[in-house]
Amino acid sequence: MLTSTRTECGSVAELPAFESPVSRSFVSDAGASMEPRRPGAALTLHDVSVTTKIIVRAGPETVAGHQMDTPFGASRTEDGALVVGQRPDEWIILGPAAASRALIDGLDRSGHVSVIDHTHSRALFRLTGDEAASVLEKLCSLDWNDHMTPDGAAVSASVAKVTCDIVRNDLDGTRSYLISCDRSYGQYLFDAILDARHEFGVGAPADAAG
Amino acid sequence: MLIVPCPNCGPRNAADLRYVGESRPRPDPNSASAKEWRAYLYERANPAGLLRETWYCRSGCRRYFTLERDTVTNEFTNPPTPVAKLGKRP
Amino acid sequence: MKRRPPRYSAARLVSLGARKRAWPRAWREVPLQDSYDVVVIGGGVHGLATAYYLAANHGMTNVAVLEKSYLGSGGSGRNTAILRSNYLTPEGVVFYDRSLELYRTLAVDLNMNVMFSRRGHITLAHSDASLRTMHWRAEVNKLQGVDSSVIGPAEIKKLAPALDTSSHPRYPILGALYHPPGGIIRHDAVVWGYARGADALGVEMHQKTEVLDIMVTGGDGPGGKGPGGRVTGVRTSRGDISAPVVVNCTAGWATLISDMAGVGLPISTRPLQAAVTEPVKVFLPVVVVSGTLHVYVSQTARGELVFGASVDPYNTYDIRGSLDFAEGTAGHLLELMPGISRMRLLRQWAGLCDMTPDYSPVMGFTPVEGFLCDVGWGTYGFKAGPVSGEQMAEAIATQRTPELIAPFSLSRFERDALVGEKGAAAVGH
Ligand SMILES: Cc1cc2nc3c(=O)[nH]c(=O)nc-3n(C[C@H](O)[C@H](O)[C@H](O)COP(=O)(O)OP(=O)(O)OC[C@H]3O[C@@H](n4cnc5c(N)ncnc54)[C@H](O)[C@@H]3O)c2cc1C
Ligand SMILES: [Zn+2]
Repeated sequence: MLTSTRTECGSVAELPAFESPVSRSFVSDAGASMEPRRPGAALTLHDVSVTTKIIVRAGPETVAGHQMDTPFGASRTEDGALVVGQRPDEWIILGPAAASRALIDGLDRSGHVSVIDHTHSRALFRLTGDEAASVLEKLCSLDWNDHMTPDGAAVSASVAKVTCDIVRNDLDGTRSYLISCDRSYGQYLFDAILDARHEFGVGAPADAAG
Repeated sequence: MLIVPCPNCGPRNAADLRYVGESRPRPDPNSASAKEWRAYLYERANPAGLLRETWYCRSGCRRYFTLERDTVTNEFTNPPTPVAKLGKRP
Repeated sequence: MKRRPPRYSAARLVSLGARKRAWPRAWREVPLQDSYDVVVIGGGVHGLATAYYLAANHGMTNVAVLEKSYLGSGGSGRNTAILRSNYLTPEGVVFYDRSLELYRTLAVDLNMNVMFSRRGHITLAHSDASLRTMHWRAEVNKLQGVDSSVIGPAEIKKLAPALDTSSHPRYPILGALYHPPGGIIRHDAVVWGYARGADALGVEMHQKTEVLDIMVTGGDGPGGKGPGGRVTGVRTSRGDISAPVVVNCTAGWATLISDMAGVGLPISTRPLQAAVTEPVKVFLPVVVVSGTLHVYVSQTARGELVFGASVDPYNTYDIRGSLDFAEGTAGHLLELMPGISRMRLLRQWAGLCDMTPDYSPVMGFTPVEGFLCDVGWGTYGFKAGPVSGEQMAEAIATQRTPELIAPFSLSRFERDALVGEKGAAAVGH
């Protein structure tokens, strides 16, 4: 049993947390089971908060930074996990626990490096559909045009006044965004996105953990 | 709204940043006189014209940086090209 | 005996009309002279009140007010006209309360209906922390003899039925600081009243006269300016004027003027925005402020809701309004009064505010002899117009700092003797 936060940060590899045993959707049933307003609307909002989320911070001179191999603003897939260059010197690894673990196990921890499991502290939603950009445009001031934010783009900005990390991660050629925020704002953000979708008919499928 | 050219993220609404204020050299606390130190704490140039100022990109890259802006026209001098290369890893 | 400006009255209107005579100008337009005893820079409420009280209380009439635009073109013609004295520091409370006392008789003193409506002022608390500050303010206020107390949701509902005092909102209303003598006034009438009053006593007002430089000799800084120097006059867009006393009453432009004399100020210029809705039947009888929601609102005699927030988040001399302000502030207003969601916005505007680190003004003498400041009025200076004019006039006439404004001297920053009013002035102006 680890007691001090400091130790937890320093020796994160010992933690079994990447299996996310208690992680669950916190978006209420009522919110998560919203059906599409327009039958057949090709715009969905999934609560995928159960996804393992590991934040790696590594100073510019560290080996770990090079190992992440993803520049700020970009993302790449490795063994099923998504490595996101979310900020200068900060990466987010999203994906199945095993793949994420494999990625961080190989990290060189020398220098200013911290690896923290944020699975439980961050909410994560996936907004998919051709009109996903139009929904985001209503909530966020950034330009969601293909030219500015192509597939793979990683940005941080305020969405419905909540600071969010956003990655464009298209699924089989369909526009899709992964949007994460602090867990306590999760329900609010989910509702705000649902509210913004109205005119586009986005639905939240009953199996919200898709 | 004012659009601030973050050197890391690119142009952002001012509401996404925190305004830190005029950036001035901090006198050495070991050798500065009380008068110099208080002038540093409180006095402001507050020009109507070019001003070097510090911003904090709180919703984006979470970095502090300094830019120059004209306080009459609100134009930034030589807006930096952002570091971020958006898209799949090249 | 003070000479009072001619009365605006129905009888006078009829008599002038019958004789086919034009309504006389409110103040004279006279040629600019090349010397005055006192030059006041800035034709807002502070500059005009200073000039008025110099003449009215001290018989000093060889005074000119120089204004680069028109009288009242600065914050004095753009504010939301809230008057109150329920501040946080003892120094602030006595000072602002004296201003309210002068405001009470201003209509009579100036022969001008300034429409002071003492309707009551409530500052809402949405958290235990702010409720604690309200109690603190109430006790400080009572000690100074200012009518101020903490009230609960039931009483709030009685004073302002439109407020949502239920427990449902995101920020439920837990209580409020109630200040019955607070209210609103017609700001233009105050400005014009002082201008007319000063004019009747012989003071000159010169509009479209911009001060470009201040002449100082013997100072430590470049060109003989700065500490240790002495003022000899000003350079204006219409020529040079010599004067032994120059007073800076330029609010948002204060540091530009002080720089001309070589005096540094702890001031940053920020815009403050406000907006007004279409007029509706009177439903909001008191002034309402919420620091937590960053909004304050009152209903004018015409029925419009006038509302505003805190200053814009960065320094600028640009006074364009922003959608962000209108949208954000309207949203907060709706949290307080959901019932007004269908009201339409009529217009929005902004004015420049001279912000100090402690939300208190900078008043009185400076290290340059003959150069005085009455600045740092931030978002709260309209209510202080009368007392500032009275006290600045006394300082100029007696060459001594009156007790009431001693705490606000520029030197307080050298002594670390700040007068922290942020808790009572950041949102509720
Ligand atoms: C939107 C808004 C709401 C506000 N609400 C309130 C409120 O509810 N209650 C309250 O008490 N206060 C309020 N205030 C603050 C208040 O309006 C100001 O503090 C006050 O009006 C300052 O008065 P003043 O005479 O010092 O300055 P101003 O009225 O700003 O006058 C300064 C004058 O100096 C002139 N000037 C500048 N440079 C020169 C130059 N070089 N030569 C000649 N002239 C020059 C300007 O043209 C201007 O007319 C508010 C302000 C704003 C903007
Ligand atoms: Zn940034």
